[in-house]
Amino acid sequence: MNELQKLVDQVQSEFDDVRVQLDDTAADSIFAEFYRDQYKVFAEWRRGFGVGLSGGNDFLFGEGPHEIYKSASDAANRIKELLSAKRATQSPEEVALDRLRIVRRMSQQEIAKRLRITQASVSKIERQSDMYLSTLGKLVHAMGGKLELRAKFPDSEFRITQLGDLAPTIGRSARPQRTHPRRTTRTLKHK
Amino acid sequence: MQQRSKRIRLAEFYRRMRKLPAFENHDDAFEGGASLLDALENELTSIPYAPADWRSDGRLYWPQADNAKRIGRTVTRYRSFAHEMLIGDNGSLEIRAIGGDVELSKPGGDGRLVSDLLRDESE
Repeated sequence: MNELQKLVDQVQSEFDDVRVQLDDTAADSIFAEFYRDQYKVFAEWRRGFGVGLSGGNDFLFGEGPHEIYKSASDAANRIKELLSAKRATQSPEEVALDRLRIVRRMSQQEIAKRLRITQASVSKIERQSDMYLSTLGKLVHAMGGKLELRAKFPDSEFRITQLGDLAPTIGRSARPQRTHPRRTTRTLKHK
Repeated sequence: MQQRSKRIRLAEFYRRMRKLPAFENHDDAFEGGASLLDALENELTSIPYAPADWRSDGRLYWPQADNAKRIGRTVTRYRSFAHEMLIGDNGSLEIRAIGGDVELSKPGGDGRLVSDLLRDESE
């Protein structure tokens, strides 16, 4: 029995109303589609790579899976979670901070506790379109990840190291690295 | 330059595919579609071509040649993550969402569609 069949069995053991379609026509992949009402989760198992999956109602031609799991068991748990919530996954390049936190299965309260700030502050950060790199680094670090800054070009890619560690120690004040020029305030003095 | 969304780029790909002259055979259709999609993604995004990455990187990729399976006498099927692409020996091409609608159907050099070829084979 291949890994994908095990995954399908795991999912089907918990849902009576999920229809599953398997497709093993490709050379190096086996595909499984899970349907629950109008909601779908698509999964692809690749030998040596793991399981890629996306959930939602609308998938674009040419797009790869949104999430990759090395273990079929982790992928099965994620599929079960998605089928329960009927929530659309997002491709990594488009994920917003609140979605990233949800994917990492964390609440704003947990993040706030780790960063020693209020839940309202976390909410505010998640809604900001501009922020210090150090703030973003701390937030990602609090979720268990590491922020990296990369410059992508059509023929190459570079990791920028000049800004140092973008995930500074939590709870310790770090000099902020601005993503935009500092606005200066000029004080007028009356003579 | 702000990158256009994948949805807009895909719509543009389908628009340009429909405007292209009909392909004469399977190989022309497979190569012609691949070239058009790659050129379009190079034009409209700055995402490097890296099909081996597998996980979505924001770029749209043409199906892999090794995911081909012959169905019937005259049609080849290519499975991609959430779609299947059917190419007829006459150069006709069809892209379908798995469990969903046909998104693109382009006739081959003889004016016949993939659905015409499959219907003829089933009769």
